[in-house]
Amino acid sequence: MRVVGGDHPSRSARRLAAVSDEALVAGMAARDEQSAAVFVRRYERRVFGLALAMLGDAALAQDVAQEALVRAWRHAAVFDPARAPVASWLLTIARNLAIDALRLRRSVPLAGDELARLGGGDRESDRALDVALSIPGLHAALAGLPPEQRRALVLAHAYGYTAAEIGRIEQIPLGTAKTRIRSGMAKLRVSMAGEADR
Amino acid sequence: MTADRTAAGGYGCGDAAADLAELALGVLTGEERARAVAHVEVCEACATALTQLGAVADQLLAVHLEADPPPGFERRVLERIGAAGEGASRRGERRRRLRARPVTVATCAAAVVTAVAGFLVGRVWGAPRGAVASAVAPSRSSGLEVAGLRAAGRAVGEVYAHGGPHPWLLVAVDGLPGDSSVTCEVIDEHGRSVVVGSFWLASGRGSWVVSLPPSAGALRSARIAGARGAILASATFRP
Ligand SMILES: [Zn+2]
Repeated sequence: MRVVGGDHPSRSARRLAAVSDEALVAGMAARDEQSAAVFVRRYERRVFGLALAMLGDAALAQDVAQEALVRAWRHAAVFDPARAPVASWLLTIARNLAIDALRLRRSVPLAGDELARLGGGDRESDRALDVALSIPGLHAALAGLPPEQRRALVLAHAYGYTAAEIGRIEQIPLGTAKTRIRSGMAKLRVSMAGEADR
Repeated sequence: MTADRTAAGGYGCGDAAADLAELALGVLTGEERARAVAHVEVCEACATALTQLGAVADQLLAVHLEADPPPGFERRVLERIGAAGEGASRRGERRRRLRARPVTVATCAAAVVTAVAGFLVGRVWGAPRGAVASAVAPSRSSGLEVAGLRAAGRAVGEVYAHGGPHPWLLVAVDGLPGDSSVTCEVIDEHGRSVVVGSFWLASGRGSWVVSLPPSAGALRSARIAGARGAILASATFRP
C-alpha cells in the first residue's frame, strides 16, 4: 500500500491507526513517539490544507503546518478534551500561526493616510478576499450571508483582521464592523444548528 | 454567579454580547479581550454564548480542503519532535524512498499557487473599484466555476476552475478506488483535450491545484484517467 505524504507505518503504528484522537493526544502528553507519528499522519493534510488556503503560499504553509504539529506535541499535556475536539484544537493552533505569518507579511500597516493614498482600496485585503472566496469550503459555508457580513467574516476568520482594521478597510465605523461580524456569526450559528438537527 | 452587569469597570452582558463573536474568532485584542474574558469567567450566560460561537468558529476551520504537504514534510516534523520512529538504521532507506517518489501534486501546487497569487494581485491592481464587490458575489461572477466529479453516476469529488490570464484548476477527489497514479485532462470549448498533470490518490482521496495553459479558454469538462488511460471520473462545466 502506498501512503502518500509519509512512510509505511510500522506494525505498532498500524495498531494505533484505529485509536481515537483523544487517546493519541494523551499518548503524546506521555511522550509516546508512536502516538505522535500516527497523529501527524492523521492530521498533516488537514493542517497543511488550512495553512495553504489561508496563506496561498506552499513554502510558508509548510513552515506553518510543521510548526503547528510540533506545538501540538509540545503542548499535548495541556489539551483539555472537555473544552474542544482535538481537530479544533489543532486547527486553531495552525490558524493562529498562519495569522501571525499574515500579519508579518502585511508590511504596510493599515494606516488611514496610506489607505487614502490608495484611493480607499487596500490591495492586501482585496487579494485576501479574492483568495478566500476561492476557497471552496469557505465559499459554501458563507454563501447564505449578506455580502457585507460575508466579507467581514472572511477578513476576521481567514486573515485575522480585527474589527477596527475591518472598519478601516471597508471605510465603515468600528461599531458597524463589529455588528457585521456579530450578525454573521449569529446567522451561521443558527444555520449550523439547523444542519445538526436535520 | 451570573450577569455581572456593571461591576469591574462597568463591563456587562451588553458589552460582552458585542464582543463575543470577535473573541470566538480570536480577533479581539488587548484590553478589550481581557475585559471580555474576565466577564465570561463570571457570567454563565455569556460563557454559554461563547461556547456556541466557538463551535461556529471551529466549523469555519473545518471547511477547508485537505492538501498533500510537500515530500519529506512528515519526516521533518517527526525529526523535530524526536519521533522519527523507525530507527536510525532505516533512515537511509526512507530518504531514498522519499527521493524516489515521483514529483507529486504538492510540488506542482507550490509553483501554481505562486502563479495564482500573482494573478490575483495583478487582477486586483488593474481592477476597477467594484471588483471587490464582485469578488464576494457567488461563484460565477468571481470567475470561479464548480463542477461535480462523477464516476459511473456516483459523486466522487469536485473540480473548480478559475479563469483569467493565469487560469487554474483545483481538483478534489474522494471516493475513487485505491492508491494509484492518475492523470487529469481538460477539454476546452473547441473540444481540444490537454493533459494538465498526474497525481497520486491515497486511499482514493487527493486534492491538487494545477495551472492551465492560458490558451485553455472556457472549459467544457475535466476528466481523471487511470494509469492505462481508462477514464475513471469526469466533471462537466458546460455540455
Ligand atoms: Zn454576561
